[in-house]
Amino acid sequence: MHFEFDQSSPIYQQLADQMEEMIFSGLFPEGDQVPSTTQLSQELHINPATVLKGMNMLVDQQLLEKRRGRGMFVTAGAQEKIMEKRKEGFYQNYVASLIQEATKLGITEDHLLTLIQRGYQNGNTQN
Amino acid sequence: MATLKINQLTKCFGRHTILDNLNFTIEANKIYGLLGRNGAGKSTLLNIINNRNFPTDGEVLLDDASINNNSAALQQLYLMSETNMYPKRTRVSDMFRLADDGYGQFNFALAHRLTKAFGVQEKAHLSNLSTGLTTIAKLITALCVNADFIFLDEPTLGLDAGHRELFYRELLKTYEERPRTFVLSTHLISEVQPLVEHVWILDDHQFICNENVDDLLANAYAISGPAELVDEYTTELKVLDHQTIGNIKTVYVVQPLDETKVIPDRVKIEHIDLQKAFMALTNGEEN
Amino acid sequence: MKKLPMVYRQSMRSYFIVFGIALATVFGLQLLSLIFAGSHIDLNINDFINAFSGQFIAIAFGIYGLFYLVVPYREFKLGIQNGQTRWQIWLSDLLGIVTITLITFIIWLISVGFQHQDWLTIAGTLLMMLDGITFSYAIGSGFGLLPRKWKIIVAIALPTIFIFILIQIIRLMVNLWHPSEATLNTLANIFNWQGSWALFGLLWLAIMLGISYLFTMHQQLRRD
Repeated sequence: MHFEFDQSSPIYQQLADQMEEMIFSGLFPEGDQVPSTTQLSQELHINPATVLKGMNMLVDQQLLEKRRGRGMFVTAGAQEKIMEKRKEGFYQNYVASLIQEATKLGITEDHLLTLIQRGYQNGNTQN
Repeated sequence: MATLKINQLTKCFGRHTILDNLNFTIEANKIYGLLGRNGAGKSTLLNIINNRNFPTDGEVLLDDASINNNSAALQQLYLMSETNMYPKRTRVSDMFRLADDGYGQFNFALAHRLTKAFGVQEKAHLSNLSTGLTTIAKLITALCVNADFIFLDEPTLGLDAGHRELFYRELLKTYEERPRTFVLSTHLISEVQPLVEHVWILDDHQFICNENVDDLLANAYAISGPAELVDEYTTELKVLDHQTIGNIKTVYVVQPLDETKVIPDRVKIEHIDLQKAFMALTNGEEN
Repeated sequence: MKKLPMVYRQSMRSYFIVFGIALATVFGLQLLSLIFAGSHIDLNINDFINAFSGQFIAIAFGIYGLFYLVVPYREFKLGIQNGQTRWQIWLSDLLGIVTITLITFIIWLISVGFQHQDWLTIAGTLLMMLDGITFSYAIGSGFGLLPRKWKIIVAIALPTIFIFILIQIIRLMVNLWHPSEATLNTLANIFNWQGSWALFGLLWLAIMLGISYLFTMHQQLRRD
């Protein structure tokens, strides 16, 4: 497990993003307990209020659930939820910027499609 | 929960005004950062809050009672400062005993554990310790003393990176075990940024910032790009600081941006950290 | 049981350390001189005890007079660092003054022989001791208010001014004041009456306590 913070956005936001990534990649399996606020705060030297804010963002998205007196757990179906969310963002985050960059480089639509196909072929031969 | 109120506090030394009409509140169980350039009056402010010095005007109230000569109030306040407050032949263990005599219920168990972790001899005389170890001895006392408001003036003076890490960890640990208020006055802004919840910036004898760190940083930006585009975009903004390399200009602002305003293609807007925001706000050349 | 005030305990601790060091030093020196003068070995225990107690009593009185000249600012710093109010610090100092006065007073009583004294001398001595130490405490707390430079200036200027004024008053009295014999007699009577000395002593004590209270209440952390 490795957290790393930069100045791109508030720390609680980065914490939430990185925990989400860890849940998505299966580092925190569904139904398992995640580290407590206290643990995270002491390990990462972050104010507990900030950690709690980040964790609560995940609770609001129903990726984590509080079990009274026991701590925070990854909800069942959390990975599925993250997948849904990311699919929604896929166009905006990847496709749009891909086309923007391609336009800057003078890559035509046809050429771009060819490149994507090549990417798939390479990916398939690698797997 | 008890709160400290600072009302219309002014301090002058001779004709020099150091603090000019400060008004703010220190709430229970929060970690605060007190930032300011050298000579901004941070130590003076802390000395006044802890009744070591008198204000020229104004007052400090704990639960609406003046802290001056108020035993119940002073029992809740502890200031760890750079000034040496102990006689020559004081041992580290004497500091602990004195804090126990003065405040009662000193956490000796934690103190013993911390002296071992930091590698300080409890039998050592304070005057024989290096700057760093003296700071550590004072810090340990401050973390173990039984008071609700702990003020740490330059808590990392002379500490190496390892000891600073250890201090941040232990601070958060004791904070979570027994929540109380900590005020950190320091120049190591980027290191304490994740620790503090609320920040005060002292500049020009007043607070130019008294805000939650997240809220402050949510509106702190670096805007960079070709000079003329950046200038055009920032005409209505209060530019705190700027930097030009060739034709590329970067300006720093701490204020909400107009979301309806179109960002020119080659202009980049990024968030900045507390250190950068501090320097922009105090308009410093400090590196 | 409620603990004694923190500053009082600290003062007494350092007082007894100084006291103990003085005792050990005098004892050690006496022992050394005895060994070096040991060519004619007529070890007289009584001589030894007499010489020892003579020197020790002198030093004990020295410490007594000087202690509260030195400690006030130190006690203020320790007290304020550890959550004590100025009022508590002042009370602790008074309690300390009473304690060490009693100790020194008992030493004095033993050294002069209790049975040889009348109660007036005993009470007078006690009052004199209190006057002396509160005077030194008042000066000590006043010094606590001053930065180092001013301390030196005041230490030189104050006695000089005092002596100068005293000389002027005497000069004026000799030159201008020609009292009648009756006035002189009355004055002599006042001086001879022990009650007036007692009153003066009490008045002095009250003034010194008042001054030290004012100084302590205005004590601040200095910037030097």
